[in-house]
Amino acid sequence: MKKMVAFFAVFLIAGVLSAQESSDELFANPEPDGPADTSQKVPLEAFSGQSMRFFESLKVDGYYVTGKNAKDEVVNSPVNALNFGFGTDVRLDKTARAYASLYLAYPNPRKPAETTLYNPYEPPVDIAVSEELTFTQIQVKELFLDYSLGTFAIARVGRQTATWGQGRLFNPGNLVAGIGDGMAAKVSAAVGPLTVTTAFIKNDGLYQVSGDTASIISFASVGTALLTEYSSPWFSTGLSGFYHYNLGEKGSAYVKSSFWGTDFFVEGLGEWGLMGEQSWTGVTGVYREIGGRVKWLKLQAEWLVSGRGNDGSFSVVTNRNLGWNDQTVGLAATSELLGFIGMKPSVMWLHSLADSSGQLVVGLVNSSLAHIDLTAAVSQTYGGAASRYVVNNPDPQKRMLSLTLKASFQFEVKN
Amino acid sequence: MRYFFVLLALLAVPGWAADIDSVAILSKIDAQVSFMDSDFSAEVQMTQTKPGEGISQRTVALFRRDREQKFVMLLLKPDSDRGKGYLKVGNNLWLYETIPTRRFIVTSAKDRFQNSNARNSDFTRSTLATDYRIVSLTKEKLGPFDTTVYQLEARHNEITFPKMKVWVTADSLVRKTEDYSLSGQLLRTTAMPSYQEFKGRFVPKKVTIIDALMGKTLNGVFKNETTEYSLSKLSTDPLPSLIFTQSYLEKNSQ
Repeated sequence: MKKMVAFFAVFLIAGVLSAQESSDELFANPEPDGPADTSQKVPLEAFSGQSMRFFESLKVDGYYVTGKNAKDEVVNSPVNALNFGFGTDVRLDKTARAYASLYLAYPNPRKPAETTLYNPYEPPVDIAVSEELTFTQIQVKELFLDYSLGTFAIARVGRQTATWGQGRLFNPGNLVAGIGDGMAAKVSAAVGPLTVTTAFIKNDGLYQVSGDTASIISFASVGTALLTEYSSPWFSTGLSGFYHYNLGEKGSAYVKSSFWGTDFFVEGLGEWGLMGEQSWTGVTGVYREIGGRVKWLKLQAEWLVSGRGNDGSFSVVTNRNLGWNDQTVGLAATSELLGFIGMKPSVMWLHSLADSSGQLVVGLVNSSLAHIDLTAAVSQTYGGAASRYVVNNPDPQKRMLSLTLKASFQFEVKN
Repeated sequence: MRYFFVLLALLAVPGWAADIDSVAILSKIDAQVSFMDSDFSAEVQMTQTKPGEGISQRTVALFRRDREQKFVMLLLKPDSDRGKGYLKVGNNLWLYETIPTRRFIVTSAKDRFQNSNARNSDFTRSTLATDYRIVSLTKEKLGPFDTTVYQLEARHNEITFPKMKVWVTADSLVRKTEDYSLSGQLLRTTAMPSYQEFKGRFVPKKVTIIDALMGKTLNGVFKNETTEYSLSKLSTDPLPSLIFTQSYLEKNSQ
């Protein structure tokens, strides 16, 4: 034991001494102070005029999932998936940029049965896949044009992705949910101390409710969103709103800050339907990283509460109505403690207090091999047959307890 | 009782006086390297050396508006990281993610910059006067420099290092710092041997950060991880407010 202590003492002292020696060397013959060379400046448009850039990515996944469903039947399902992405990025000058990101996928992914604009419990991944041995046609992930209006505003037009809202586990404040499946025109501007963003989102599948078969120029398929944000040295705050011809209005406000080494946020959302329906949602959360150089714990905790009337046609929680006092808590944690052997453990627990259902996922990812991630994960879903997390179980086989073994190969090349 | 208050006052006065001195001395140090009456931009060339693993280089565009505690860093090189950026306003730091979706996340300002030995806080304006108090001082020769060495301790826990030692020359320029943990363990040493004068302020020509904990023993000798960076293309031209918004990072992301 003494030898071990002595060894570590020598090791630490050696480290400190070498640091001291190295820093002293830097002062042996220092360059004299003098005037700065101001002949050049950093361009504000760092990447303007860049030649066309191409990028490619490949991701190949192989899964094996085994587990038991609610009937206590063992269900095994091997899943393989391949995603080949490619695209271009052209910045013509300091005003214009054209960006395209396309992909081919196997197998042909099935669209989720229901995409809900107002669903804050959106599963993190859709793993529902068809069993047909077919690739997709070329799909457009993003295809947009950026245009700078001087130094005042930036516009982005086309298919684009964006996420608003503050929550990482529950994000009811994402008023632009669905933007990635449609087309949008978005403009951001700095107005005094405020940053103002306006988005017009056209999404035929998402916004054409009530069987409306409006033409492509109809307002029935266009939603309008506005976000105004202000940041001071102590906190940031924002107000956002959404309006749709058939759906009504939504309004959201948030405050977030960082102190005691912890990020905090509070966000509230109100919704008003065309028929007088109202609902409200609040979410608050903290994020903290614990540890020095190695973060042995990265912790995210969130609490969501929502309520609405009896009308189910306009709802924050469209798929499960749990009344006025619908509370859900979420906890997610990862650790860098095993990073030295390429391992990353993580855990996520979501629990509905309203119907005592929930989901617990414990996973371990090994990234020690170049381009390859090996994952083992155990998932436990619990609750009654009609409870939120049992009904919304993202596993297409509806396993209550499952073990997933997954190998992923991926790389990305840009030139 | 009267004697008790007199005694209390006698005990309190030196501490109060020392605190006033701390603010005055450290404010003067802060003022030398802060641009409170203009915007500031520069290009940062950064080289990180990991013993046994090689060298990695980065080029970063730095934009600061010190009076509003705002700063933006945008990676220009290497190609694999270009377009990644940070926006910091006071205590809030935004990181723009493109995978799996485009969104901003807020994260602690204590994070290391791009896994180098530098911290994000190294690039913001100097706030020694508000963050630290002087607990002792000594005189020391540092190479050709006659310096005053101030032992500092944190006034609050919102900062990266609870304890510091700074070597300061008569012109109130910091030539060297040592950063310590709360338990007194040396975490890193930073050397700024020479400065470039610019618009009445001073900017380090080259900064060398020696990580006291990270490194590797090669041929029986422990070699520390180091990060060197230099600042060039200095400017105090007014910057558009749009630079200090999330939209600017979004536009430049790849």
